[in-house]
Amino acid sequence: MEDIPIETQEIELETPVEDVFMAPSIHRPEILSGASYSHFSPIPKTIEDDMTTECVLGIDEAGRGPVLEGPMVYGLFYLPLSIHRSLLADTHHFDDSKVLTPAVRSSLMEKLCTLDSDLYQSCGWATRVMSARDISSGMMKANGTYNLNAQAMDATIDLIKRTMATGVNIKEIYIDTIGRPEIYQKKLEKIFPTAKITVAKKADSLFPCVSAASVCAKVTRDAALDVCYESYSTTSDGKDKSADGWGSGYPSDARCTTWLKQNMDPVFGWGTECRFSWGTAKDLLEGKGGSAQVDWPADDDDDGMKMTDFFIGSTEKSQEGDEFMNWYGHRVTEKIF
Amino acid sequence: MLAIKPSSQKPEKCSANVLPCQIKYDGPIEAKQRYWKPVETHDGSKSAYFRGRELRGTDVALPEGFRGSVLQITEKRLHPPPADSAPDSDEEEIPEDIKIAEELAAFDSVTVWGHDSAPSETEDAYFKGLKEWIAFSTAVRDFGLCRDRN
Repeated sequence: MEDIPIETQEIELETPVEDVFMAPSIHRPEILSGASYSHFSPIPKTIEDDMTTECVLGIDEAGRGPVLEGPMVYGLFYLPLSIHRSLLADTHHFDDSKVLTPAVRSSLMEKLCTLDSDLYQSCGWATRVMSARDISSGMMKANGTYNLNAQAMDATIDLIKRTMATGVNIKEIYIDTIGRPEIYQKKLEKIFPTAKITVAKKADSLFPCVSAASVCAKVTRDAALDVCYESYSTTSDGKDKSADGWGSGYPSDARCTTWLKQNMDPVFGWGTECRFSWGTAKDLLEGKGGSAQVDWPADDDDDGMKMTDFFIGSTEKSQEGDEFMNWYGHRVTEKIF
Repeated sequence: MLAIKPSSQKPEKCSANVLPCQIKYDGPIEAKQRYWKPVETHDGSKSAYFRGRELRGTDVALPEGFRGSVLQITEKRLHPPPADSAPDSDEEEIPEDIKIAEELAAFDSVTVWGHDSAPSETEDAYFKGLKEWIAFSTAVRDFGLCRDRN
């Protein structure tokens, strides 16, 4: 897949702040093992007191672009319909993405997770952390690609389903689109017939609950990246860890590509925090960086045996290898697959 | 010909893996847990990730009486050539040149890996190879033992 460069200004907005808030949606063991997981906040008190309260729900993502490092995170946010704009837009300015710098995002998330804050009392939220490992292995499946859009839609649908299953009365759903809005909207309307669904481009700038969902997603991704990076900066292999770290994780961010180049294992490449499926990672591995070439059986080549393979010496230049290698017969080539 | 020289101390235990790809690299590597960490899955197979792909593996245990060895062929000879060799005496039997292979490590099972699904016991070339070779060599050995006894 091609990497699309992002603007420098955007890199700034995607670069996590130092000491980003560690929300309860950060599950260290899962992140370090490379697993995907979901986190759900408790149902907020205002809603729990009266489960018939009509609620509005927003969904947004972070790290869906061509990032090399770290998870893609889907955030879900809901609150009573009656205070949607007053609490989120008027009181906390969740509607203006220019104001939402990484530092502001982090502090808003902290407020949301602080007992007795107005946000904590009335708003529920959830995140799905889709690990780089699972995104890569999905995109590089043996029998056809489980592409990023399909993975993203499944994560979204799962988050909404599980939130509705808690009994919260979701009346309206706002969501940033994946692909064409009309098609995505139709699909979601079939799955969630009881809610009014609005799928729109740039939904985070139009609907405060989507903006809030975006904050949950982004702060969780920032903190998850931090957790991944910690495991590198604390290893005692004596390597000098650059103070820059890996930056935003975007390929147009020099910190990220420099880090990838400097930390490439010749055989394994990188750890589970890397998205091997993206062009930049593939190019680095297949380039002149000194890594070993790895050949996988071609997908379309299910029976690669040629008739001439049965004639000794026809394809093999010579019987390479020493005596020991030929002890049990000759080496099988990748054609055997 | 080769002669296997068992290591003087107990050889280091290692795990042997057959991967579903060809890695153009020959030599020692450090398989850090960060990069290679097989785990048991609920269906009994193993799961690990390599270069972004998920691999599923099955252990094939070597049967009782067999031993897996990682060998390194040395330049040492089993019969060092005599210092004053007589090149023209072709009547004399020249001992065969046998190199010594030293045991670096030992293993008692091999994990055979497939991309996304564990290799099939009846279809995978390596799986069959391991099973059939062991069965075949067992049959040959047992036949030899029977004959010797009679």
